[in-house]
Amino acid sequence: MSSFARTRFSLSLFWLCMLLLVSCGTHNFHGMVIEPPNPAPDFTLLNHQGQPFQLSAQQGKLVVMFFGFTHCPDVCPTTLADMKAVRSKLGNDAEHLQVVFISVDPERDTPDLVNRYVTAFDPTFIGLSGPSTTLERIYQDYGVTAIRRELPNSAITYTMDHSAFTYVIDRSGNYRMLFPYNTSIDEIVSDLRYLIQQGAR
Amino acid sequence: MSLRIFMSMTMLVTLIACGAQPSGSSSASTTAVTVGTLQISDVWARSAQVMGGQMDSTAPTMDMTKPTEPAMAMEMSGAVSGAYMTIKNTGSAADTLLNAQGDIAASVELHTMIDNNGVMQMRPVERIEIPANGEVQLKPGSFHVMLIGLKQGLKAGDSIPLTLQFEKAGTIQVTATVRDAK
Repeated sequence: MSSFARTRFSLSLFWLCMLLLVSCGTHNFHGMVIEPPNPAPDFTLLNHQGQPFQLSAQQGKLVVMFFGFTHCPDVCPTTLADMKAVRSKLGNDAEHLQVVFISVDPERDTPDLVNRYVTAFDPTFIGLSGPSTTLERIYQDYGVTAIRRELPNSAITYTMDHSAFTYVIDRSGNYRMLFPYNTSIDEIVSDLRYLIQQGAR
Repeated sequence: MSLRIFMSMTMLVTLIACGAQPSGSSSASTTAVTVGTLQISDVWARSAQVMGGQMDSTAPTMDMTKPTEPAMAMEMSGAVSGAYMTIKNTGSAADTLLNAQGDIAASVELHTMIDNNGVMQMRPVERIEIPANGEVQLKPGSFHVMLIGLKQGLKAGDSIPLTLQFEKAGTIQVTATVRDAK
């Protein structure tokens, strides 16, 4: 091989590597990415069967978590319906996804009630509630706002003002990103698919 | 002559077929109701399950076996859902939706959602103004008719009669078609 041919060969090899690097490294995230990713704050809540659900025990799965309450008229059902659509669009990748809904209204939402509420959307969803002291620590760790507002003129008695972000914990257990309410289903699918496939390596 | 009838029939059928499939899994009837200058269309309600065991929105004495159970509170206000619609006003004067009623729930209220920097706040409203030559959409994340204490579950395809009370147009009956969100 002449030195010219060698140079040309190494040059094309170089460009090939660059191309690979670029195509791997440039997933354009639609949600907000947490940099640097840190281990997700852990917690344990008892599910509707009294079995512990521990976040850190979900490693290997991509956990998508959000907060709401069963008396919520549209933000919560919309998010749950979106997540159902996300799961179906993910196809086979969905087996690595775990959707978790945590109540901001433990006074009305028992673990059993939340579980029935979320599984009505998709039987694979997990709905959790628990003692308010445990829940409040989780809200704090994830920066969730949950404020009780009395509504004396409404039959609903009170509502919970709550932040409507969706939190993503990657398959290594790191808190990786969050989606604001109203992020489109396709944008969520694109980011989750990337994280699922990245975590599978 | 008969060809013309056949052609118009075909067109009609085609139109109906188009209109019957708005989006997703719904089989919504999108019949508009027009009263005076108000036109109300695309009336729908979100499907919902009644999850509590007993449904009684008034009696706090219903099940005292576990009086401190948090589910008590839930069963007292029951399962909820929202109804949505588009209200168009072709008149030169504004009108106001004062209230909504329906037998499907223990209480029916007008509510709105406020997105306060990512914190969702649901609030009852006393009235919803329909501006002159304008329209208001009752839709998820905005104004809605809140159904509190559902007397039965709402399945996609169900029809729910609602009575709307307007300041000027008076009483208007509409039928909401239940859809799976969204």
